[in-house]
Amino acid sequence: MQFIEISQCKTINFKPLKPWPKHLPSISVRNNLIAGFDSSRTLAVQLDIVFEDALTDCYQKLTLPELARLYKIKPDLRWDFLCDFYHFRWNSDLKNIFELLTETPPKFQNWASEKDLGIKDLSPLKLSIVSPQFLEHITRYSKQIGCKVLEWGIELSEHHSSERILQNSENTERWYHDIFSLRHPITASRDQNYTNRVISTPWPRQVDAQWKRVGDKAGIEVRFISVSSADFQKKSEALVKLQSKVEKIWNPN
Amino acid sequence: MEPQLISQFEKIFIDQNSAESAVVQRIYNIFPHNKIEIVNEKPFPDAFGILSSNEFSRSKRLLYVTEHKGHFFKRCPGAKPGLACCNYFVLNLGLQCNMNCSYCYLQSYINTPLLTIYSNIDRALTELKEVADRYPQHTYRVGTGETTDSLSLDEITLYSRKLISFFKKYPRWTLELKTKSSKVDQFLDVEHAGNVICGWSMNPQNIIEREEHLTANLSQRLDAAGKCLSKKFKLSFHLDPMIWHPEWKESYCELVEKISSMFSPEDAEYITVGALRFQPEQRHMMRERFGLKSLVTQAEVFQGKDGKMRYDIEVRNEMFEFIRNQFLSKSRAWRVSLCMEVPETWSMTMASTPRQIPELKELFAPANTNC
Repeated sequence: MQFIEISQCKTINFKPLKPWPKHLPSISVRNNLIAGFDSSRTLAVQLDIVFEDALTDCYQKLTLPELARLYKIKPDLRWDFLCDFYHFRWNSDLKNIFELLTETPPKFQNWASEKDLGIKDLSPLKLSIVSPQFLEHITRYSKQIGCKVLEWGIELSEHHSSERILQNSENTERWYHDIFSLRHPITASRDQNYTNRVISTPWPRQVDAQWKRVGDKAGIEVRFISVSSADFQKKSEALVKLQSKVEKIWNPN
Repeated sequence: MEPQLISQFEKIFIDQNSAESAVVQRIYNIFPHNKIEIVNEKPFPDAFGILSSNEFSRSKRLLYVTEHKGHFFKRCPGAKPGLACCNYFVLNLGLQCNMNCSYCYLQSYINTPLLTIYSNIDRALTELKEVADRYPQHTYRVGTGETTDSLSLDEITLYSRKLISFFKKYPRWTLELKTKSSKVDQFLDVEHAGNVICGWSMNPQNIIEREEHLTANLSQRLDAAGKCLSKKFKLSFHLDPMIWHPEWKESYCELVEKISSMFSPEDAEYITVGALRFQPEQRHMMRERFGLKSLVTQAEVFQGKDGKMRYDIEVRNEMFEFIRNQFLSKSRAWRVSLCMEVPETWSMTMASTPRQIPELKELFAPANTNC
């Protein structure tokens, strides 16, 4: 086994997210340090094999942001081979995503790695330049919500300033609602009108009612707990008596 | 033939097994020979799986003629649990379309970087004959516009002529050719049994200009329908997908006005109405290919029970009811039905499910599903 002084290596530090096991030595391939960047040791194991083979042996899984950072440092690698290994398709689209990803804030890149975002999740980046603050705010969300907000934010950038898009962004829940409403103004306004009417309807005691959207449908969700059949009958009858008022939720005039 | 159609294709690949087919002989007569290449295997073998936006766009300019290996004859995708189905069967004579609609569902479906025309139409006809002989009492409706437009490339293939002649022998069956083109001259002289419906996807001119690129404009479509009617072909109109925009009522009102002023309810076998819908995964490609100004990429859509993105059910009902009322205000005889919709929408728009509506009952009666 050959060793080389780390100081003599060119560091290909693409900032892999998973820490290199501290008991393993740093790895160099033909004077290129590819693993164990943070090691306090002075020597690295020197391999005389193909760079891509060494890389895939060291890293069984790499996410898109990690590959994007590697691409920025080493664009001349056999990317078709690497993409195949990491289950991506090497084409101009992926190259574009790599270039865009490396321009995003590190916090967003790490979030995209942790959530294992794919090409489609990140494809909105191709359409518009978004502010770094916007991307950083997204990292507070789950993958599902974050990806939705990313899409809506980029779709909104066509008609709204980034200041408007970032309004209320300090409050995670409120911002999501705000972005949704901005992206779906007609639906949000209609849902709000229904919500107001549901709230102002005198529902029977111990009956909860709210206007709820489930995908392409929205309506009144009515909930109550019956502790006996008599209780069930009482609440059901009270709801039936409300029919004319419920009618007004849909037809206020 | 329009020079645009010839220049549209950058390259034509012909599978060696199809080299002797009639369609290939026509291609040699129509296209410059330097565009044509005989191949032993499918071109671009490495390009498989989900296509990128660029690959999808390019696939419309690369024609590939080959034999179809699977079944030609299939049930319509509307025949799914949860959707009210009109017993439509599809005969796939190709894959991909040379026109370019922003909402096209093929963007979520195509996984090959070529526009494919199947050369072995005779086998498709044999398949149809087998079904016809097996179920002589059934009245099948067969459409060819599922994975490609029925007529936009028909000047090249002339498949309409073969199909119309074939269906003449099976008068209980109905052939529907569905298109956004105006290419009908090539089959108008073919004798038929009155069982061929020429159907047009219709949208107001402002939507055609904005969302249905490379298609015929509204007057061209209406004129082509007029030509078919003059040769006693039946007609159908599909106001599908309706696309919401601030002036949608005015636009669609004008469209209904145009259709009803040119045609009578007796001329049109039926009118179907559907609203914008698409698979969620295709939104990325639509955004990349048509930008953020498209009414489709801007649409307020939500995932429905069937997984597709659709307008809110209340918006859909309003649109459907509007169209239906517009037609019925012209004449009570117009037959308007919904396409790819949940029974709930039927009940809200039409006040009943399709099988409860006398004029649509036959259309929606359960068919044999063994095909």
